Parts: sequence; C-alpha cells; structure tokens
Amino acid sequence: MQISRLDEQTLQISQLDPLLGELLHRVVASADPTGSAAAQERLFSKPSEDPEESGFIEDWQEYVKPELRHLFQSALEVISGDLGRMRAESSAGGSTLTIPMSHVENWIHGLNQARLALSARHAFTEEDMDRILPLAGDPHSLALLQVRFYGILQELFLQELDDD
Amino acid sequence: MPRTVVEEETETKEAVDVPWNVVVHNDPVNLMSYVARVFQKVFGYSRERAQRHMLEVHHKGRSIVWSGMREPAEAYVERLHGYLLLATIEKSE
Repeated sequence: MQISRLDEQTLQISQLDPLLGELLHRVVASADPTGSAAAQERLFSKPSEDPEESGFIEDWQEYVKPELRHLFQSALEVISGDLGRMRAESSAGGSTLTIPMSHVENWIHGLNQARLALSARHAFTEEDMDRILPLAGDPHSLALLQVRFYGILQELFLQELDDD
Repeated sequence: MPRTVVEEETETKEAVDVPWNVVVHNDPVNLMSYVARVFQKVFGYSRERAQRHMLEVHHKGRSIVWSGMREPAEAYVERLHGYLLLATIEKSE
C-alpha cells in the first residue's frame, strides 16, 4: 500500500492488495452500531455521570443524539462515495483509491467510528490493542485486524492534514 | 377571566453560578494524535496545551479540558461527542 499526493487537492492510496481493499469496503458497515447495544452506547455516550442530571441526559437523547447521528452519517456517505470510485489496477490484482483532501476529515471520522463500533461490539480490551495480531480467520481476529488497519490509515491521514 | 399562572424558576442558583467542568475520559481506542488534534480544533488550544491534556487523559484516565458557565460547557461536550470522544459535564468542586 502506498499513500501519495496526486496534487494539492487529492490524496491517492495505491497498490492496495485485495485484503486491504476489502477491509476498506467494510468501513461503512463496520461503523454502523445497529444490533449492538455496546456499540450504540459507545458512539452515543452520556454527557454526564451524575444521577441528578437524568433530565439533562433525557433531553440530550431526544435533541442532541439525532444531530450526532446525522453528523456521523454524513461522514460515512462521503466515504461511501469515494469507495465507489475505487478502481482496479492493471497489474497484481491491486486497486487504487483517490480521496479529495476536502474529504480527509470525513475519512478520519469514519475510520474512528468504525474502530470504536468494532471495539465495542467485540469488547476489545487495551491488551487486545497491543497484542500481536493472531492469524486466525475468526470474526474476532478479523475485527481486530480492521481496527489496527483503520488506525494506521487514521494516523497517515492525520499526518497529511498536518503537512497541509 | 383566566388566572395568570406564574411558573416558578426551577433552576437553582447553584446550577447557574457554579462553574462547570468539561471532562474528557480515556478510552483505549481513540488515537492519541487524534485526541490532541480534536482539542486543538474544539478549544483552539496550542499543540503543546492540547498534548498536555491528551497525556493527562491517557495517564490519569481523565482531564478537565475546560471550565466555565453551564451553557458553553454543554456545547463543548456536544462538539467533543461529535468527534466521538468520551466527554462529560460536571460541577466544579
């Protein structure tokens, strides 16, 4: 995998092998917390830990949560659009993804959302984050691979924004 | 003639006056570089100050990233949740 600037406005990820290409295609689905109370709870966390603030928390659920959901969805739609333009390279079965620099913030957000949702769904611990990746093909190991890969991409995108 | 009902103020003086803290809590997933960048974006902090708060979150489990009136504190928590940080509001002691 190689990340480079095509020009000032465009980032390119090339030589994406089929596995990494597949993991990228899973970002949007992985960021969806549907069906997991733990993922829902993590993406829409409470704004207060004080039991006396129950009214404030209820208002938050009613008014703020829909806004946050909309914000998160917007980032994922941008990612989905970029992924739809991913193209196969002529050699070695790889693919190339071009991302406008104006979309990079959305990518950072969407990758973060996917990492958080996956980690909550699979109840990953701090130790899981640090341990050597297992080569097992079970869903838990695959999710951990996704979290790690998305984290690497997040770091690379953050560096691109720093350099911008 | 209908009687005018005067509603009583329900917020206590304390709730209005007490400074409120915006607290960010540690989680093992958010990247340190990401958290520091969010602090810079949301609060306009320098890179050094943002990193100081980020390291406090990482090492101590939480950091008070802002203190002041209730309304802006709520707005900051909302923005931090927009970046998927674990942030809460609490009364300053």
